Amino acid sequence: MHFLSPWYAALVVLGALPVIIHLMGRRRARVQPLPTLLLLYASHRRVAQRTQVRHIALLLLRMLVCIAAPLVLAKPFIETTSDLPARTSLQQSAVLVLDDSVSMRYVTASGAGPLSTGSRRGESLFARAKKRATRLIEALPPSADVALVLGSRGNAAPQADLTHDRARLFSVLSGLSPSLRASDLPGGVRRAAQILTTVRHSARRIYLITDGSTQALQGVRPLSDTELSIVDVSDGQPLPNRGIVDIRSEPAPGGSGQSLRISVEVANFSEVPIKELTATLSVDGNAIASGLLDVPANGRVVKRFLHSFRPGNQAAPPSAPSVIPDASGERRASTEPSSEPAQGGLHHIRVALEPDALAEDDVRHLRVEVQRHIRVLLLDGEPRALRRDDEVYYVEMALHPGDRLGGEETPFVVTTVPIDDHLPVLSDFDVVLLCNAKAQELSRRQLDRALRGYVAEGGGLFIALGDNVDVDAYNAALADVLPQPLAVTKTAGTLERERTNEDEGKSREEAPLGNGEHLGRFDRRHALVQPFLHGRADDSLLAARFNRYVLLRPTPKTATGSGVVLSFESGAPALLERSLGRGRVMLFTSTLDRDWNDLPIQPAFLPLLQQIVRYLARAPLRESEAPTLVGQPREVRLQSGDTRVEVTLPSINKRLFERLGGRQILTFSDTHEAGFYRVAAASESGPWHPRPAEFFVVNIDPSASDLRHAPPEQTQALERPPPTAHDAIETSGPPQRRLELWHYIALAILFFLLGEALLLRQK
Amino acid sequence: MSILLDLPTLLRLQNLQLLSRVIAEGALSGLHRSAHHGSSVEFAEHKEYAPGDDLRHIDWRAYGRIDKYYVKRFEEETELRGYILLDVSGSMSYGRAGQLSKLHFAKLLAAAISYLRLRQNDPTGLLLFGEALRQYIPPHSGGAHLSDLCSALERVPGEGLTNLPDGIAYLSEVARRRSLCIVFSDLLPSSEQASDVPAGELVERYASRLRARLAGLRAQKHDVIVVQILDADELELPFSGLTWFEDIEPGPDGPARLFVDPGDVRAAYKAELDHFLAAMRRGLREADVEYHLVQTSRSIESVLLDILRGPLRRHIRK
Repeated sequence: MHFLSPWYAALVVLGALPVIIHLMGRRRARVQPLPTLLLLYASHRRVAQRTQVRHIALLLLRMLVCIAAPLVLAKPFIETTSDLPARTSLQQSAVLVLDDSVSMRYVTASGAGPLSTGSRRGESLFARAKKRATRLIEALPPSADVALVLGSRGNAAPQADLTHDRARLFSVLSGLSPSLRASDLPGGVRRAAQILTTVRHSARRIYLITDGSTQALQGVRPLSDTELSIVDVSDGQPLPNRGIVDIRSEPAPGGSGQSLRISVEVANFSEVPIKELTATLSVDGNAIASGLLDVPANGRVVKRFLHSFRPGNQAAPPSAPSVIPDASGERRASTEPSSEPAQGGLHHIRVALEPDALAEDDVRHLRVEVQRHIRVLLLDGEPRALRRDDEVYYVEMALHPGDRLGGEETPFVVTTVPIDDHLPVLSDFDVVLLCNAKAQELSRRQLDRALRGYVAEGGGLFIALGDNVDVDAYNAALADVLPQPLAVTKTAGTLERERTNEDEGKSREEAPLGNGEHLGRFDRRHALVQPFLHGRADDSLLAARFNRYVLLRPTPKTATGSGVVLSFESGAPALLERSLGRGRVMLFTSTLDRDWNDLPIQPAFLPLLQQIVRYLARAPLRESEAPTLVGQPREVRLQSGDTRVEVTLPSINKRLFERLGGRQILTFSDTHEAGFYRVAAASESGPWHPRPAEFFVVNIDPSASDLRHAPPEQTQALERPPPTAHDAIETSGPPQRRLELWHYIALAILFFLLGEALLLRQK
Repeated sequence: MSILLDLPTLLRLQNLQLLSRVIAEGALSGLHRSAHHGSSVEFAEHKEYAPGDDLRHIDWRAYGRIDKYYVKRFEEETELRGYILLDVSGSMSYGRAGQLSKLHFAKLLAAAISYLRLRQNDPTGLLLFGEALRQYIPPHSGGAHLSDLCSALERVPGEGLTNLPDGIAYLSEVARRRSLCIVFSDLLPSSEQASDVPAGELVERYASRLRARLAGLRAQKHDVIVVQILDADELELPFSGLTWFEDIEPGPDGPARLFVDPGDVRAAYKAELDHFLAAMRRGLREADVEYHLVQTSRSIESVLLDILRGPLRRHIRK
């Protein structure tokens, strides 16, 4: 303990004064004769014990008052290690940049570790930051003027003007709450520096009150004429955190267009590995599946969920699981089938982890739009009057078996168009099957360029060959599309047609006759092959006999993203794949009818072809837009006639925009909540119509999850060294905080006097 | 002479005999104005009314019965011996500065009553008793006897311990015929007797013994009047600040002392005193003993008047 006026402290000896007065009073007490002394004895015996205690208490209280009074005059204080910057007490103009980003919602639990689930009791970093800011303002000299700026993206300045009014500052501080926005301390510092440009005659200081994480301080630069002090509200303690840093969706490999694979990337920003963390998938508010995952220390793990939506308005078959195991072989979690799978259409996907100290980053949202049907265009290169002889007959039967067998409906909507007929717009279809088309016809109809553009935009193209295919012409017309250039047609056996026309004695000279070839090699990792890997499912596929197919030239170096899915026994490719732009192309080196092989009559043909179409039709599931983060504006497209727009926030609150006539775009900036936003529009007096195409999700910035501290050298580099020797002395060693005690002692004196008065009243 | 003689005037009159006369005459003049005129004289017979008779003595009940006026005639008391027992222990000498001590107060009352009795030739004796008998003056009548009594009263100091029960016992021995016994005392025990007995219990025992002795005196057909004289200090304990209270009747080992803040014990002291006085009053009433509690701050005439309105009234002629 220290004293501002230590000489007064010597007067504590006055504490003996009551005792001395008492002793002197006892000696000098007057003697009073009393005839009724016996009665006085009797009465005194009854009250002696009580009065003795009271007298001792009175004596003690008076001694304490006599000791405390000099102490008040001596102004005692104690010094503790301060968590405030060292130069706070100097004369200055200061701007407090208070980080209100989502990471400041981190709750520091007492006792339990911050990663313990279900424990959110404690003090948030933002609450701590507000207290620290309050104490900082109190510690500043009364003449110091102060402003207040927030440090999240879109940083507002609740007190943009420098002021001496402490009450106003405290009022502003008390009304602040943390946002879900990402941190933008560089912007906050720039704004603070602008505020301080008006200061001429005093030191300029910016206090950054933040969690001290690397991501928060990233981009902050030291200023030339303004001192920067970083107030780390975590006090250097580690802030272990985990969170979902990414969420994506894509068509499920091997599934239909309604099957979805949702991948979430979970990051562990701590030195402790996480075991059996539960992640839960919800679709449209219903928990669909959950799984466990282990995340190594400072590592990341991708968790995948597979989910099938019901095709059209029809319920999914009971036997078909809505969530199927991921067969990709990548790290995945166990999933459970849902009892009520959602239908195709627009959906709100939500993946959540068990909440930890920062629960806000344990949830991530995704908007997916699932096509209700897969629209298939069959370009028939060899149409026939007799349907059975048509090039696409078997394809149609495979995609619509119900038409023939009266079975269940498939999700495919098939449109067959002869190659020389009027062609529809390709973008209206999810998959195009080009069956034995002549290259000249393609070029004449400019289908070659159209197909290339269609695939690049996300379409799926399947090319099947046949007698109409001239390899050189094909290579020329579809050079940008083919996975590999065609080389030559190989005949490995007697064709069906030749067997039926054996009497005519016709034979092809270009290929030797034989018994044909069978498929021999599968790319076992490919999604298409997965259904045929279990049991004897591949028997019929391997039983198919191929009498003729087209050999391919070696793969050019420029052809990237291509691969062989199926090969013949000879090693020649049978089915190839290539990624092109946002779409895919598959090349089947034989025919889809019985001209060159008997695959169409094999039981494996139907599932193989359906798998191929589903695989290629994944484009509609792709997100066509960048994700919106909290605080970022979102453009809402308006239709002609829309004059009013209503946006429903995740919290059910609504924002109404009117008098929008003539505008095509509405920029919606009130994205301060994370979740699913719904949009409805209406004309001037018409009813509201939902606009699912404009529905969107907003997520928090994943960078906010990383709360690992910035290295000390980074923070030291940001804080400018003190310009004067005086400051240097003051800042040497840990900063001290002075806690004055005299007002507490004065308060105690009041209580002592009150106690004395009460004791005296008991006489 | 006025009844309202103030204290300084009284104190200037050093002659107790004169003082007794002054006080007694003053009290008698007050008695004339009282509403109880003649009420204490014993009734003798009826006499038919004749002009000149006192109208106040007409028996209206007899008139109601026989329709004639009769006057009640009262029997004039014959000679009645009287004993005045005065407590002259040390506790009686207590008195606040500038005021009469209890003993002085009692002496004045005793002298005044003696004057009144001797004026009508009633033999009056005096016992001065402290721890033991100091002086006994047998009852005699005549004006010269008043001088003897006053002289004895003037000489005796208030000192020593108290043993009033023995004094009463002595009185019961010397008063063989029916007499009037008047006791002037503060009725307080000495703390010397509080050796190993709790003070409260000792006071209770002493008061009980005293009541028994007085009841015995009454049982001998004596008219007994007890005048308990206390100072205001004893009744109120008005002191303040830490004080050494000292017994006024020191024993062989010196006076007993108690260091106490009067404010702490005042309430308990008053309760104790009230209990003591109430017990005394109740006990004496049960024994048919007339009891007067007198505070020395009162005027002596008014105190004497109160006493005269009691049984003493029968023995005093105007």
